[in-house]
Amino acid sequence: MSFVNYVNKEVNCKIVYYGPGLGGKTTNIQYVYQKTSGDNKGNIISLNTENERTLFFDFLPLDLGEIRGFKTRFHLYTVPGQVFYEASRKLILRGVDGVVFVADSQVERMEANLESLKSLEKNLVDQGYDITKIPMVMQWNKRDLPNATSVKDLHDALNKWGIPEFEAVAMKGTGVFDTLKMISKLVLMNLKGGLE
Amino acid sequence: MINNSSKIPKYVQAFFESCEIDEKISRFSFFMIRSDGVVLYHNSNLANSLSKSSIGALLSGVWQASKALSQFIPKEESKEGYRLSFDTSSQGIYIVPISTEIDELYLGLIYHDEVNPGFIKNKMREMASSFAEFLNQELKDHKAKQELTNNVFDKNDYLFADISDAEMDRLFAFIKN
Repeated sequence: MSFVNYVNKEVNCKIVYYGPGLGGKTTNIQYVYQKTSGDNKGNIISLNTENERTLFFDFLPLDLGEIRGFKTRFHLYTVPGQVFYEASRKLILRGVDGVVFVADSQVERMEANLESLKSLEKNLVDQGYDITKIPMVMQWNKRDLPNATSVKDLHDALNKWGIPEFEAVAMKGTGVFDTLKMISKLVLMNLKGGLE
Repeated sequence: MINNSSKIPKYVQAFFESCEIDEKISRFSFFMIRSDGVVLYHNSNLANSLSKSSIGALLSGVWQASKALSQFIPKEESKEGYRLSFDTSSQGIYIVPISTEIDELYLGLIYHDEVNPGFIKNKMREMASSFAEFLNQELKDHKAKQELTNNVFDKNDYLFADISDAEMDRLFAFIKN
């Protein structure tokens, strides 16, 4: 749940990058970290296994500057993608304000994308969220690979809600900030609170 | 309908301004956080404010994970409630929950070179209990005042009803080429 601090005039929002294992969620936030100047970012925290797979979460705090007098701080989290970390994914989704679903464009990963999206829907419902109401953006990652599924097929299979979608090559940074900018905008516009 | 959660920072600030923190605790870094890891208060000079966000996320994460694990304890939940320790005999991390009527909050302490950790843990529990009492009383007073004046803010309005692309571009001006 977003947090509007009227004392410090600050808003805190939580964005979770969700998707199948090895789809590029961590790569997204690592790219954001690399391309963000020092004053605007904190340390990236990664709780990994020995072979660099996300075990619990990655976390990157970002200060985006001010909007209408409010400082905006975004907390970017990734979930572990591997199927057996379902319990961790549930915990990380608590209090989420916006979701980026990072799909792997490779043909052979379509099944994993579908399974992950289904788990997202279920985990959101379990926590009282409605996937059609929460700010969400789709990212079709790994568009540079020769075995990439067409965007239309990805759209048809994974984006029945018609939410904003972006093509990306997270390793090179393509589409990373477009995705983040869109989810940030959707989250900020969804903030409730009114001004005192 | 008023969202009392948004009032918490004001009460947190008032609490820490009015109470005297035990000097044994104030030597160390302590944090008051929400269940989603947002830091409401800290006395830390450990690092900059963004590192404090990381500490908040980790404190919250470790608590949430431990709470989920506790469901595997084959016994009904203790009435006493849990605390979380990760420590050696002289240094460690200690987290205590704060029971409030609205949000789940936690106090986290990072300590070191302490000859009597039991004493500072007890002080943390006392602080959590004092804050819960203070907050619940303030909320009660606030509610009574509200009913008296019928002065209700509409907190269901959108904070930023529309945001232009130019405003978003300004927010993301920090991106390095």
